[in-house]
Amino acid sequence: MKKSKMLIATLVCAVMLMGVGYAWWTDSISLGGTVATGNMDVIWENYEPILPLVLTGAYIDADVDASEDAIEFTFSNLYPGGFANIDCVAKNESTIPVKLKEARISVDADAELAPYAEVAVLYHKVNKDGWPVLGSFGLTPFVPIADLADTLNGTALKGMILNPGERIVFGVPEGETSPYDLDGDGIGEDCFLFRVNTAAPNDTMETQVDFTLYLDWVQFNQE
Amino acid sequence: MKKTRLLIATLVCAIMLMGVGYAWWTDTITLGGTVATGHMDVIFSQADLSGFDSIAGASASLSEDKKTITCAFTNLYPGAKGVLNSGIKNNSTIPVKLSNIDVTFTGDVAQLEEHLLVSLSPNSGFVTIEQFVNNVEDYIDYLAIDENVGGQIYFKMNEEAPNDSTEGKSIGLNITFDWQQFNR
Repeated sequence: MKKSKMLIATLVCAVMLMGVGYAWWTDSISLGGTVATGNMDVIWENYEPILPLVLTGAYIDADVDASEDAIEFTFSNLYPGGFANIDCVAKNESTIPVKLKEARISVDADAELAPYAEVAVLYHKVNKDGWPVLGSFGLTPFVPIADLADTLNGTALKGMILNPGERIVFGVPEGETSPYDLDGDGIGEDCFLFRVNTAAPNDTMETQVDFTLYLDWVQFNQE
Repeated sequence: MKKTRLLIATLVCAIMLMGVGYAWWTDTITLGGTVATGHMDVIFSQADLSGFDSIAGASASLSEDKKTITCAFTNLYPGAKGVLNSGIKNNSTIPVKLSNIDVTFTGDVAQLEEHLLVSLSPNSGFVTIEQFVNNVEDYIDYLAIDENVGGQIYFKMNEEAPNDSTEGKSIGLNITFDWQQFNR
C-alpha cells in the first residue's frame, strides 16, 4: 500500500515538472532553401543550310543531315586529290563550364581506301560574345580517318574548357590562314577537311569509309 | 569472421564510390560521315573497218574490256584505203584527260610502217601513224563525264610505196589510249 502511494506521488510530481518544462520561454529561427540543379548540354549549332556548311571540290556530291546532337554527312564520288569539308560549330549551352574529356571514333572502312581517306581538323575557341579567343587556334596534319580521335586527343582540344555560351569553331579565325590549299586557288581549305590522297591507286575506286566521331564532354570540375 | 566483415565493408564502399564516379554529368555530340570514291572508266565504243575493197584485206576487233582496238592489214596495195569507225566514251564519274598514246606494230613493220598512212579526212592530210599519234592531242585531249566522241580514222597505203620492199607484206597495229583524272 505504501509502495502504491509512493508511485502515485512520483507520477504526480513528474507530470507537474513536465508542465513546468513546457512553460519555459522558447524561440526559433529557420533556414529555408531550394536546391536546384543546372544543366549540361553541348550542341552542334544547327542553322541549315548555313551551318553546318559543306564545301566540296569539283564533281563531288555531298549530303548532310544535322541535329543538335549529331551531324551525319556523305561525301561521294571522291577521287585522288578530291576533297570536301564540313564547317561546324560546337557550343556549350550548359549552365556550367564543360570540358572535352576525349574524342572517340568508330570506323567501318574498305581496306583499300582506309589508308588514303584522310582528314585534317582546324579549330579555335570563340567566347560568348563571338570573339575568337587569342591563342586557341590549332590544327592537325592530314591523317587516315581511323586515326582522327587519337590525333585530336593529342591537341589542345582535349581538356579544353568551354564556359557557358562559348564555342569551338572548326575553322580558322580572322588573322590566321589554313596551310591546306587543296584546289590551288590560293585560299586554304579548313574546318573538318577530308581528302583522298593523290597516291590512292586504282583499287580505291568505288570504295568508302564510314565513321562516327564522338566528342565526350564532362563537367568542368571533373578530374 | 572479422575478415569477412572487413571484406564486405570494403566492397560496399567500393560500390558506393563507383556510384559517385558515374554520377558526374556528361554529354556527347557526334559527327558521323561517309567518304566514298567514284570510278574511272574510258572505253572504245566501237571498232568497225569499212571501205576497203574486196582485194585488200583488213580487219579490226575490239577487246572484251573495250580498252584496245587491234587492226590487221593484209594484201594491201598502193592506193588501197578504208576507214575505221570508232568512238571513245568516258564512263567515269569524273572528267578525264589524255595522258599518252601507245602504238605497237606487228608484222613487216620495217617495210610498211612508213607507207601505211592515216588521216581524219578521207581525201587529205594523210600522215604516218607515228606523226598522227604525235598530233592526236590536237583532236582529243579531254572527255567530260559520259561524253562519247565518235570518230573516223582513214587508212590508206601510200601510192608511192615501192614495189620491191612492200609487196607481199602485212602489218598490224595496236593503239592504246592512256587516260588520267582531270585534276592530275
